[in-house]
Amino acid sequence: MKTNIKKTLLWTFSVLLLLTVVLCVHIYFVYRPKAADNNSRIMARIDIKQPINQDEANKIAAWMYHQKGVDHVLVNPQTSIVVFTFAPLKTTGNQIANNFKATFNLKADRFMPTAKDMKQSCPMAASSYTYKIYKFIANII
Amino acid sequence: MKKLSFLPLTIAALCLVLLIDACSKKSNPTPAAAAGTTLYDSLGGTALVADPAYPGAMIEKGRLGLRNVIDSTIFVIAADSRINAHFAVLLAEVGAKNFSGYTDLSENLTTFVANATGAKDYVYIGLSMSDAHNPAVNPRMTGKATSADFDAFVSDLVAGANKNKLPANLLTSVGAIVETLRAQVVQM
Repeated sequence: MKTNIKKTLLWTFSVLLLLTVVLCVHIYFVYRPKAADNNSRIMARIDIKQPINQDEANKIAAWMYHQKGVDHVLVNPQTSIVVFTFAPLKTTGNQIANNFKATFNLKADRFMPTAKDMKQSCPMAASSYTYKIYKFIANII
Repeated sequence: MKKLSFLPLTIAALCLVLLIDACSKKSNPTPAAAAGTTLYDSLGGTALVADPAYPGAMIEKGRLGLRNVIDSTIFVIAADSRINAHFAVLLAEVGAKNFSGYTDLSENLTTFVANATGAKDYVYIGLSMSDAHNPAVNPRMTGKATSADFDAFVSDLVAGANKNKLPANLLTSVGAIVETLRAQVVQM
């Protein structure tokens, strides 16, 4: 009787331990840093340090759309800002910014926010603990 | 007493079933039965269509319509110097290969608006608008949002909606919903 109970407890413990290990490995694989894939998109911004008109904005947008890996572009002539998204497997933001500067005779720089900017930006990006737990579980299931 | 020896196997089997069930990845949300006509329904509702951003995946038509508007709005905001400082997280390539800034914000905002417009299959459980914009609760808010900031956001949203040719009546409905948030966002 006592031996059976001991056996039962040992089996239960072993099985639970095994399942816990499996779960941990699964969580690790879900949460390990993922490499960019074909669906990954990064947003980048180029600030033109001089005024541009609508015609120039249109030309810039047309040129940007011809760059490999760029899929969406917006050029705001009021603020002289170029915003675009690109596929990181095909190009980089710096490469596009450098090509841009080489092609157009404009003073321009890629805007790179600081770590402090990142921490203080976008209230919607701050998530409740509930949301974090939800995301955690949602990623598993 | 011999029956007791089956207990661990039963527990193991049960745990395994639960684990397998938990690990079965759901690629698509379950379509909900349409009930009444919400703004979400007007945008296409729960009908599943191919997701152009993720080949092979399906997405509710209502959510796709909203996501298109949100994504366009994000672009407009990112190029709008009145408020783009609040959205630097969009340019999240900075740092340790964090590619999620743009896509996370798009997903989060889309879910929020989807909920507000009547979606049943998506639940927004992020911070409330009031908490998200309260510097005392949310350290990301270094100051209170002004009414001018909110106006700029609304005008960018309208620009984003127009880029997607959102019908005027639906745009009015979206605008009315967003306007109800003004008091929660502008806490001055």
